[in-house]
Amino acid sequence: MEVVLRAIVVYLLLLLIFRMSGRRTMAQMTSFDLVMVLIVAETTQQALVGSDYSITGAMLAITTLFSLDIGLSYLKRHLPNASRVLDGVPTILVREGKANEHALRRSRVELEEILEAARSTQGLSALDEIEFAILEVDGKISIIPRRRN
Amino acid sequence: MARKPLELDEHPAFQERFWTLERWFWAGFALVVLAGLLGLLGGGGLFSRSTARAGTSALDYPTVARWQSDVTLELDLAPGVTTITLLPSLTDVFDIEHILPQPDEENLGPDGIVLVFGTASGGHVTMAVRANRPGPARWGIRLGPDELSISTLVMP
Repeated sequence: MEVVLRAIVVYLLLLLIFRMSGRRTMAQMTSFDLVMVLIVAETTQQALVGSDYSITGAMLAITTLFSLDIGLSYLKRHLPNASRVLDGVPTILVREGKANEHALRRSRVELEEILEAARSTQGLSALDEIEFAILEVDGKISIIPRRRN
Repeated sequence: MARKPLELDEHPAFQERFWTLERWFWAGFALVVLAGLLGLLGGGGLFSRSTARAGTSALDYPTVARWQSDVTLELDLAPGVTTITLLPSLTDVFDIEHILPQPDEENLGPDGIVLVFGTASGGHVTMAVRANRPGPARWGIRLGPDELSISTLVMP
């Protein structure tokens, strides 16, 4: 029982911390972010299984985590509000070539990151060539180029 | 050909509220770190330990401990005090990992486990203990004839 409770608490705690740290924290994996993920994984491991090193304990913890994930996916499917809270909503950062400074600041995205996404995904070289830049719920930036007349 | 409008499920009011909530949580993160540094969550720090006195004997104990983690009880025995009684309330909360120096005798008495030390000139005893359940705990220990009643919060 203890392993199941531990898995539930750790899952919900990680969900809360990751969600509240903002989307950009995990979407842009720099080498330092990779180190962060490794440290979080290592730190979590002990809290997850405690002093129980059995295969049964590991199996219980993993099954609990996957069950929670499946349960939450159903919750999100049937309750749009839950999806909004758990995953967030997409945010328009650039509209018709103009940056939304407020949204950039609040979502901690630099204009340079948008230009980088525009260059790498669409081959665009300037901000006014962007129709929409959207911060997606997974933290990635989608670029829709402006249509030239 | 005109471009179709962007099909995007935007919720600006929700997003704005969530950004504000995020900032509150960041302040909460800072408070958690600060509480950790101050020892309010156990594991060392200014407020993680305290001292209780029984006559001229003293017990340095954790005010905040962590579940299934080792902490120490540091006992300064006054001259003439040769026994430490681990009351059942203590052994209910903590598993005894080791005691330094080892007692000369360990007896099971009506009030708990009585540790007898050979010297009558006082001295320092360290007990490593491990909390076996989370939550607030009230426990007692007897240094010679004097009983101490202690509170420790065991963090999950």
